[in-house]
Amino acid sequence: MENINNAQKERQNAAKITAIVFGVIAIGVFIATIVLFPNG
Amino acid sequence: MTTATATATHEDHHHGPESGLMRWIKTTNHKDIGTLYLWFSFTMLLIGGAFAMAIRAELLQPGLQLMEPQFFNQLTTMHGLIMVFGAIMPAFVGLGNWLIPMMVGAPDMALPRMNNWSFWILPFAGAILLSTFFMEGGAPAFGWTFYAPLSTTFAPDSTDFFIFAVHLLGFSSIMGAINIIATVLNMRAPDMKLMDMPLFVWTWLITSFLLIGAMPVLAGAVTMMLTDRNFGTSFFDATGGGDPVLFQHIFWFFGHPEVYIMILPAFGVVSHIIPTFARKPLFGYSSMVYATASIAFLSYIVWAHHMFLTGMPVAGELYFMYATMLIAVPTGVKVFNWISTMWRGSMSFEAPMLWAVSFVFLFTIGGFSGLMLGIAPADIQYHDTYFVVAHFHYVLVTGALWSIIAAVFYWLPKWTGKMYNEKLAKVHFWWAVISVNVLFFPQHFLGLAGMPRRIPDYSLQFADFNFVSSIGGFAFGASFILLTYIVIDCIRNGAPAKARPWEGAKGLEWTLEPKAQYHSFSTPPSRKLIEQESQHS
Repeated sequence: MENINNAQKERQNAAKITAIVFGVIAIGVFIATIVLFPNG
Repeated sequence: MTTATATATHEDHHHGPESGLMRWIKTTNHKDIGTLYLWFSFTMLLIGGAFAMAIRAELLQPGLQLMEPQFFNQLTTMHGLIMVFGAIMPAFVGLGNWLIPMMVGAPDMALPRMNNWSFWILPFAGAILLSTFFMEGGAPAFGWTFYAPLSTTFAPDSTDFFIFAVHLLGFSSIMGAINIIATVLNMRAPDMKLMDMPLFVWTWLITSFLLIGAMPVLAGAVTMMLTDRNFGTSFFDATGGGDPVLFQHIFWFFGHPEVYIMILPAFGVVSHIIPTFARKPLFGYSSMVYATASIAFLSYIVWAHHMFLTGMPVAGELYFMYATMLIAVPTGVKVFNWISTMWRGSMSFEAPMLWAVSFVFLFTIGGFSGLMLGIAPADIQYHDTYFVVAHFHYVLVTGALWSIIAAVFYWLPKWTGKMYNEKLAKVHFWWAVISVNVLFFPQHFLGLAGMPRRIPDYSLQFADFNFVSSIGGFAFGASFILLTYIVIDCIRNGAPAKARPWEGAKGLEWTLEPKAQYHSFSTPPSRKLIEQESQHS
């Protein structure tokens, strides 16, 4: 991983954003399961 | 920017791993973490397998032989949980870790530190789960589906530890899925288009979306169980205005996609091995991708076919029955494509191909019995019988596990730089494939004759098939001793492998050294190389 060029660094930064987006989706699904399902 | 470029060109990319135990604890390298996942899952497979041996020993004859019914229930519960969450899922994550960066021409996973965390949560979760055996009241005994109120009102105290373990396992899976999505979408070689990606990468990408959608639902279910048990809520308690059937809806909304989480990567593995040993490009690459996506979509809208006997309206039964039937269409496309790939190919039958071909045949048997179970009126007869046990073991053992063993034999030369003993591998294959059918095929007959699942004792009319099934079980269990020997023998004494040990193999991973170096693809592969190694070239 040390020998990564700039383009790869940029891709890695984009990957962090992707990870945050999907992390938020996962948390949203978790909350929705508890809040929405039991109330029909 | 200049400084960054200067740092980037400084040549430290051939440094090796740290030595000793700290290498494995601190590692952020996808190959190390892949290895950790694979050995962890193999250990859990042996533990879950030991539970299965005890179950089959109890069922060898009618009457109670070895254990109390309560302990039998603990064993069946833990066998299921360990195999699903500890063996099959981590094994595929291990394969994904090892292979996805190499297949997409990336230097590592997108988030290597999170990758380390994803793995190291697992042994603790597994230990917490197993420790429940030693707690007062014993381990959870409500089955791997942990239906309320058995898992809430009537469960032992250790259930709270089980809940914590499931939370940790889910957390690990979600982080793993996020890492794979980010790796595939962002770290893929710039010249690799989505439709250039190998099928294993495609199937894992789609599986990751399933994990993101399904695992938080499981986390929600066990959180509600936790509050019902300890904080006075009544999500699943009818006396407080809740609904136990709600638990089943939520569980299976997770549980059915979970089935495909465990089988889609298997489809990917088989889609690599069959073209290699048929020496032909994969038939219908695009249709394979679309079929995988269709299966994933359909997996979210069929969950209540597990619940036909809960008294749902006929309209609901009809909907879930027909939606379930629909899954046979994209699955049929896949089986058709694998067979068409083999058609008039120059086939040879090295160990990975033997496992892959038997996967196609045996998984299809499991698929057909699944269709039978999906027919609402027929399910009244089959529900909760050994027919269900036979069905899901054909799908998960001769499906998911088969593909994992196929993958290990196929990519072992790339992981170790050495070849395994082909003769022993073939002996192992025939031993396993015969014994697994002796183990599980009679269970279809037991189920059709009415033997319920999850019972330690049974009526005399079920004795013969249970005896045959148990003998097959012991033989199948013993086959893993030989598998362990073959893998360790390969690592220690195997003959040196070529960079591309299989004549017909395609894929960027085969362009690397015979044993893939610690860091690969520091420079992304060229368009020409990607096209040359593409599955549809």
